[in-house]
Amino acid sequence: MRRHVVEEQMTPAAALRRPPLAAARDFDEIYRDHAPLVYRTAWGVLGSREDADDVVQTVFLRLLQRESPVEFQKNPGAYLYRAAVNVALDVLKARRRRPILVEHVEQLEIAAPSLDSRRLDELHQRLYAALDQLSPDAREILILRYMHKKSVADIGSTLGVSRAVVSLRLFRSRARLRTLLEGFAGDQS
Amino acid sequence: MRRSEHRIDELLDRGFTRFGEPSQEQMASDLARLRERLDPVVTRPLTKSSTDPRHHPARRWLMTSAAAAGLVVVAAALVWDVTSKSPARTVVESVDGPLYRVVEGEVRAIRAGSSLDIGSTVRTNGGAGAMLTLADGSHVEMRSRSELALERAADGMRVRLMRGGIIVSAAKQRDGHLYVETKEVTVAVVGTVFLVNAEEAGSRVAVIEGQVRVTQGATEKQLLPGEQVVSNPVMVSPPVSEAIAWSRNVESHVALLQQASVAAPVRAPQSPGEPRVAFEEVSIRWRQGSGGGGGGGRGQARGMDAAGGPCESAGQVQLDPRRLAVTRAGLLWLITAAYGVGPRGEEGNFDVRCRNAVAMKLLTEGPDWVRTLEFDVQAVLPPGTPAYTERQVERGEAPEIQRMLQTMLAERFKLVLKREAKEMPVYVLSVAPGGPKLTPAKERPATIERDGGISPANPSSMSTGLSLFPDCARLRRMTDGQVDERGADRCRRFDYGADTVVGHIRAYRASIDRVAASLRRLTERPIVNRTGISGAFDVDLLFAPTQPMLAVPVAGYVGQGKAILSGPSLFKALEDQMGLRLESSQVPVETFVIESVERPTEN
Repeated sequence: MRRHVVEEQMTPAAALRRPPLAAARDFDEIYRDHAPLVYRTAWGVLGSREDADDVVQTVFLRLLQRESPVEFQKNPGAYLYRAAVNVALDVLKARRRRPILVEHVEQLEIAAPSLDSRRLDELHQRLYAALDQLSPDAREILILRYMHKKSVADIGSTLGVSRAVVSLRLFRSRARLRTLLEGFAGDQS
Repeated sequence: MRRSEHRIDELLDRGFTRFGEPSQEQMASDLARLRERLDPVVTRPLTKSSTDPRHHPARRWLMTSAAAAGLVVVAAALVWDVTSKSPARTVVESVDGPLYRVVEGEVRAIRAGSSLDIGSTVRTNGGAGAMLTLADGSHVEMRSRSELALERAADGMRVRLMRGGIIVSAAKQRDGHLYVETKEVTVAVVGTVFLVNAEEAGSRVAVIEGQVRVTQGATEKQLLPGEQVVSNPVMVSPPVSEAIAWSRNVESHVALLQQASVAAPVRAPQSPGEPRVAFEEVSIRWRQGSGGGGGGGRGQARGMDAAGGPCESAGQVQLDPRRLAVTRAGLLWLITAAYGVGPRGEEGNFDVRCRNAVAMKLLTEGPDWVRTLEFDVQAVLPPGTPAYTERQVERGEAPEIQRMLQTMLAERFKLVLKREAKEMPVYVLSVAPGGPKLTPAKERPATIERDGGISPANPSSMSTGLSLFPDCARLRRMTDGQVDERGADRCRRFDYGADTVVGHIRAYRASIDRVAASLRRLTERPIVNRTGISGAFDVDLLFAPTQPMLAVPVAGYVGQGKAILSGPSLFKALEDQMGLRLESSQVPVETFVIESVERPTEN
């Protein structure tokens, strides 16, 4: 089975050349400030503690193994949040390729999952399939807005863009999602 | 427009908050743990520079090939330790993946052939196992994600297991002792093969050969082959043969277990000359159950959820170290529990097994009250009774308690059973003419494929039922293109899947016996396994869900507009996908006829 997160292989020599990211103290600060959003994002997308763990680990491990990217130096929070969204969506995609076991014989006599929870599962599936067709910028904004309930100003400061840009992107990406989810929205009524 | 704006906001709100928020406490503890795990990578470049005199110049940075192993390896950058030539006595015999030694918080990879001093801590990562040979010649097999320390004990050596699992094949101890210790228990060893797991919920010790003495706090227990003990009663206990399924020597261990079980059969309680195995004290109360149409009821009426009948046990089994309580059990239930009525290795608790036994007429006759009275049994276990779990009792894996129940039925109920063999219809599972097509079980990291209630982290996990199958290409390939029209249409519309409902048996590290148990539930007929195949396999069997057992949920999915896989049948799927054949046949099975029984006197 292919692992959903693939680490690049690095030769020992390349690892030696790599400048240290920062002092451990700096790393602690970065971790303390940004790991919670990485974790919450992974949790929100995947809904599993183990998967959230994996995402946090992958995001920070990659950071430590790479030469500090320019984007990271410019805005560590935005860089790590983007990484979190990307890794979490990768995990979700890998998971979608696998069948979902919905009924166990042992449980059949007890109760099938309620229709509501199935409907929510379907919405979740459709939503993330639609999200796949949007740009990374749009995905990040939508997740901050609807999952983390951030205001336009907060989104702007997390991503390092102006409020006007946030508003515009939010408007466009929501319109695009409306089209993509049209069938589902229609079913609702 | 405004309405649709509203709707999209509502959809996004609901979709994006499907899983809610993680609890603050959980997040804080997970993040702290993860930060700790990253430690070796974070501190390395800063605190351990080449100017550190303790460091040998031959050490070099090593990046493990995480991608090849299919893992995210925590200690991605490690120090390669080639200096360990001190007079150590424990030797790393073999490794099948990265093995690490933890020294002063730093993690170093070590190879087969390296020696380890007393005081060393070693760790296996996901996907890796290792075999160590201790100074006394004992072998310790570590499973993946395990960590242990080698320590000196007052009269020998101690292996301290911090997490994961080990199987110890202890050499005969000449002058000292070998101990294995976890947070909860200490195991003293003489010359034996046994398993120790340090799990999150507690510790587990299981014996494969010989005997071990397990101490937990002030209590001490002796375990025999096939027996196991857990430090926390909430832990489930799969059969020992499953708990050791990860071992590379699983086959020889299972053979040892089988030898032991042949040597020590469960004895009938009333045989003259046998020691009487009985509860120290038994209290039995009874009432008219709902099956009998009321009258004389002692307890409250059954709730709506309890179906009633001779096999129900509403309160199930409660077990603590000295007491066994069974509430509202019919006599047939008690007989099933005491004698393990039904095919050997049958899955399911006694409610299910009892119902099956009655339906298949394996348990018959007796006066009417047998089918209507419910009994509450409270029993005190004699000291020295193995510490079985409730699950073991429910699965019929607690032979001592079964013998005590047999004695209780004979003495208090004056039960006389006639046991005889009977021909009954079964399915025989055998190898198909083309030979088996089985996938030997692989060790996998615990972090993948947790869906559907099965997980590679469990020694053996299995799931039988329906799946919503999303992968069109694979579905077509596996079922000879028999995806129905609606399924094919979905394949075209959604790139990620068809959401076709399929019958599915999926397992990691399952024996063929467990597969047979799944087939039994699906076909509702006993399965006789004549494959002669031992070992653990990964199973992924897809079939048309036409079994009556699956009819209700399948109808539910039809109602939701889902596509249902129309072929192959379970029989064809078994042959094509696993190289196994399932054929209808007749075999002799032991049946129990109640010759006579009396209502017990109430205490």
